[in-house]
Amino acid sequence: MQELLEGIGQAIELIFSFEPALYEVIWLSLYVSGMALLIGVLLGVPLGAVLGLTRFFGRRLVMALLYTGMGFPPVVVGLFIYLMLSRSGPFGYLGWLFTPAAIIVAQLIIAFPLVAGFTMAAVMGVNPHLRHQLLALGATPMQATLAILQEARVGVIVATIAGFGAVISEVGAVILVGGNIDGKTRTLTTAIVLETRKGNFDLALALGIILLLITFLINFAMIRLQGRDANPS
Amino acid sequence: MLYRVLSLLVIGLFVSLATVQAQESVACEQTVVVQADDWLSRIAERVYGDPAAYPAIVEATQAIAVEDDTFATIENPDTIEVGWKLCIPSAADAEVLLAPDTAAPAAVSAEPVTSASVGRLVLATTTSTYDSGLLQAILPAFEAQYDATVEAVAVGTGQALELGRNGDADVVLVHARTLEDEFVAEGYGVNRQDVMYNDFVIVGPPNDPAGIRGMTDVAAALGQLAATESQFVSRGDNSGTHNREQALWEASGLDLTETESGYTQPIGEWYLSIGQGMGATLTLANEQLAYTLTDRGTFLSRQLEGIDLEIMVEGDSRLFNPYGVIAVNAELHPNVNAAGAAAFIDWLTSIETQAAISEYGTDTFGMPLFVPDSLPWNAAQAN
Repeated sequence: MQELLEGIGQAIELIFSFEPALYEVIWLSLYVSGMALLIGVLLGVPLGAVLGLTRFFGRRLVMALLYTGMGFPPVVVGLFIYLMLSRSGPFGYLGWLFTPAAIIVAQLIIAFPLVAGFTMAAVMGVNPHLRHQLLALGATPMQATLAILQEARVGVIVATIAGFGAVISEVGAVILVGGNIDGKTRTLTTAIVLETRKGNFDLALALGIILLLITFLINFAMIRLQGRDANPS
Repeated sequence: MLYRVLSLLVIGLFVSLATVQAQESVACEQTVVVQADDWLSRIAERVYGDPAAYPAIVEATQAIAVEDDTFATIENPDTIEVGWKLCIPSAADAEVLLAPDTAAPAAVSAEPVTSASVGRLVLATTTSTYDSGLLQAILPAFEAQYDATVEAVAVGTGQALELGRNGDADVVLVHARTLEDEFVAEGYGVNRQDVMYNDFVIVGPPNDPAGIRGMTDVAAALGQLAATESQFVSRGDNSGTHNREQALWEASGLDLTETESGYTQPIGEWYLSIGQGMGATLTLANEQLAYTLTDRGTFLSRQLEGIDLEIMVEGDSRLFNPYGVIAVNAELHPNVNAAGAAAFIDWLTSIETQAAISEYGTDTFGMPLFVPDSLPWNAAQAN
């Protein structure tokens, strides 16, 4: 209990200390998770829409793969990316291992199935007659799909939030492929692991509180976005 | 009717428990308050007519002080203070208390109690003892002999000591002498004993871009790494190995900087501080073809699994790495398994276990990983 209170106090102190090292860590966390999420949304939302709206051969297989991906243990993703990017692996020549690029790739693989899967579910929840009606009214297939995504936007935003939550809090894969190098690939989560291992429980807790705070603020912003769009005046 | 029988049974149970309690606790025939110029042996002479009987008073007072804090806690029988309340057992009880002590004169840890059941013992230790396979090799003998289950938590020295500070571990086995001494001085640990040592080596890529292979002066080798800006991977986790690394950089005479975490390190992009265990550090160094400081044991076991790095610098006395075992102080954390920790320390420093340590690794690596260094072992070697 004592440690918890000290942690909260230290978190507040840390935030206002404006220590460059702390902000570097926060910035890297936001950068890699933001990039992974951006690419994940750009790829996952269209795939989710296609899976939700069309019927094609092999669709069920793709869906099963997606659902498997949603429950993928992140550390296995990390191990896979590690083996791919290792000096002795097929993509070793890229020199990405232990760089932010490797973390983005790992987080993308974690976020993508979540974004695609939840988008698919949201799109499937929209009244199926809407699409037919839109097409009958002369909309192109592209326009009709965009209109349905607009209708399902609450679900799409939930998909994005789920993807963000999964990657910003991820540590197993990040430490494996990033290496937790000070000033290069240290994120909030790997810093928490490090401080815990060192026995600095209060500092670890302070970093954890900062992480929670950031996640809360970002989610709050996303919900505001969703709320405003839901009630256009 | 049933209720009456049940309540009688319950009462009976309490009564019998109470009698057991009474039998275990020490009976004081009288209490004595220490006066000026009193001496434990003088009090013993007064009440028993035998100055040598004073340990009975010490033991009886210690035992009762646990339950009743109006009695004094005697840490050192040579210094008692005016006003202390002492418990004087009856002459018969005193004889019983004295008997085992006179039967076994000062044979420290020569004959550990083998019949005792230790139960669950939490051992906080450094990753090197675990990653090298030593613990897995020697612990089964302890577990069988003492009917114990040892839960080894393998973490950095910093976290291992912190687990001890919080009473989450019963005994710690670590290698960072200054941190160990601090731990004992702060009262968290008792009964620190030397156990063994191994050594550190500097490993690097086979093509050795810094040209340090074969150097015997580790400080000069580090200087050359800095001069050639060859990548060096640091544990950066306040572990025993990391503490040693920082001391070595200080010895190198290079320009150093202190990080916000209080680490001393050289300046430059070539220095990578990764805050991870030895295994992960070797993996990263191997991938980046960088240099690093490692304990020999972990390095040799990784070499068997295939790693390109090779030993570059070894044999400097500053690479010497002693391990100590410390029991967590049961006075601060009454829930720790103090008896188990004491048995473990006795067993770990015993000649038999030390011999097992001296052999560990020879069949796999062609050389022992650790050199035994306990008091009983060194005494036996000297004879």
